[in-house]
Amino acid sequence: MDALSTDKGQVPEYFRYHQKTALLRTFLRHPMTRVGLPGLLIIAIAAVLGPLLVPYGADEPDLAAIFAVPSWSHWLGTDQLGRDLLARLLEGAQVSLSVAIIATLFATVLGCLYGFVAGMGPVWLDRIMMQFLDTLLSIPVLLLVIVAQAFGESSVLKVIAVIGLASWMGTARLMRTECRRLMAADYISAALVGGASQFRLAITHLLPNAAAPLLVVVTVGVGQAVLIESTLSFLNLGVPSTLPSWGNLLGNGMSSLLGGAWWMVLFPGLMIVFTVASINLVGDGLRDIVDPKRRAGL
Amino acid sequence: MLRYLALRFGSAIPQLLLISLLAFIVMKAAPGSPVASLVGGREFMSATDFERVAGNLGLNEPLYTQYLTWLSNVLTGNWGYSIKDGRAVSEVIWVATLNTGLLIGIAGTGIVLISLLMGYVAGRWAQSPVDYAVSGLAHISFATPAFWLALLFILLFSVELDWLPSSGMVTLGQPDTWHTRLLHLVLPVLTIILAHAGPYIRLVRGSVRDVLSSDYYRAAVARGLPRRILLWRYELPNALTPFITWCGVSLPLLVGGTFVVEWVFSWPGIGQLFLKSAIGKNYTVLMAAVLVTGVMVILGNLIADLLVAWLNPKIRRQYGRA
Repeated sequence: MDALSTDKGQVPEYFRYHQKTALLRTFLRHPMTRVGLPGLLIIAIAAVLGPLLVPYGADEPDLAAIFAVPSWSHWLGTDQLGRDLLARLLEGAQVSLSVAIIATLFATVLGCLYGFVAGMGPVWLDRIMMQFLDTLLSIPVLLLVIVAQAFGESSVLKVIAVIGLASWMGTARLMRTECRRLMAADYISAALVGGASQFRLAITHLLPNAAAPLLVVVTVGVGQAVLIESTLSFLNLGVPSTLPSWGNLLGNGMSSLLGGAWWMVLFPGLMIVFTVASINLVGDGLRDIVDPKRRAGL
Repeated sequence: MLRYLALRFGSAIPQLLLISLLAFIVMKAAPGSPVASLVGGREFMSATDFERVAGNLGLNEPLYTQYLTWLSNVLTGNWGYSIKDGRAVSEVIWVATLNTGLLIGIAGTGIVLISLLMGYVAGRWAQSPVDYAVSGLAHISFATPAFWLALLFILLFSVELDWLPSSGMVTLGQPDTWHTRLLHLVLPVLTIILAHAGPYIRLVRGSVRDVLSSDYYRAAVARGLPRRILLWRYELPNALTPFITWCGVSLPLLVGGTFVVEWVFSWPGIGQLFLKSAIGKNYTVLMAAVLVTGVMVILGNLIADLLVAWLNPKIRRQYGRA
């Protein structure tokens, strides 16, 4: 995952004036974020404003235009009920992105708590918890998610919960490492001797220290959550099929595949790739900035 | 080395137990009583009969006894019968496992070869046009859902061009030759490789760059060692260790992706079985599929770790002399 490592001693240009410029500017100058950030902005704007601009509703059937090929009236074509694909894609952006973001936030809270307990608790507890984490990591996420989805009816809340429950492990491990690293620092010992409580330590020292790497994990996590959600919905195990999430649109496209309705498959997928790639690029940029080793140009 | 082996095998045991526990929970959480499914419904038997049969089946025992009995059954190959068609689960699972093994085996080999080659080229000639092309492709591959690529391939090669078959392992109604089997393999294998190679390529590129900028490598170049030795004794072995570790760690991802690809191409493997039984709520098969997948992944991880230990003199020494 080392896309941007450079030779030793040679400080890349976008880091060179780091001391003088704010971190934000360094971040904005990074070549990866230069591509990724505008992409994310476009997606966000499209998701928020798009449905207002498209003259069709996402659930508005038009029986006169069933399976319409992309044209000036329907930019991305229509589906088997004559619903405008562009309108559905933009509506779907809201569904897919909010599911992904909420699920990732849930996973982050869960992972932070787990990592905090493992990192601050006694060593034997840490051992057990980390062994459990390793075991969980050896099971395919998709498998867990599908098994969970096989029970009960599908609902948006359940999808969010399941994706969240399947993706907190990375955060937990990061948090635990940060805790252990921090507890070994002298100024923490000083604070402890001074009588600071664990809670106070967590708020004043741990969170600010862990915030930056956490941000990277969360960013990349949202992209992965988009992928999981789309896979689940594609398999009819995700959000209810009445909602136009990207995965549902693709699942719908698969059933019309042999009829040659290529636009129903092509565009939702492109949306997913564009979104996830933008998120990953921003995540890579963040990682380069956050990692002090890279920042020093090592 | 023996001590390392023992340690590593030891750590696989809790993993296997957790997987088996998960499978057991799947089976237990399934709605409907196994007694009722035996005779076709609760209403066909009296309450006393129901109790008696449940007792005979061991369903009144505490859960941990049930789990142990079930585990010993699983270990001796007694996996129960499919709710759907009454076939023995072990038989259904075995055929599917072989088919999946074939698919993952070929695709996995492809991923390893391609990512080693492309990652090496990109890392060695970093910041060249070739590097930008490879890295860009790797980025896109990382963000591409495998099932979408599968759909595009079907659209292009099966629907539009009609070159390659889009589903199954053999063509129905035609003789089953190795030629048609190969044709059926092309699209699924290609999909899995292209949708998964991204992170592998980026990893190889990164570690090749790390090796090239290390002091021991510069020293080796300065000593005037021939290219051949530099490549085979310095660059590859050092780039290989993180790569193999990653192969093991990422195995769950690859397996998950393969499952969905199997679903799209109707490949009669474990993934299709898994998804079908999840959607059709066929819990006995689902349980077995969870078990087999988990064991496959854990074994894969184990093999990767052992390979790393074998390749890496640090680990070899650390455990070898003790």
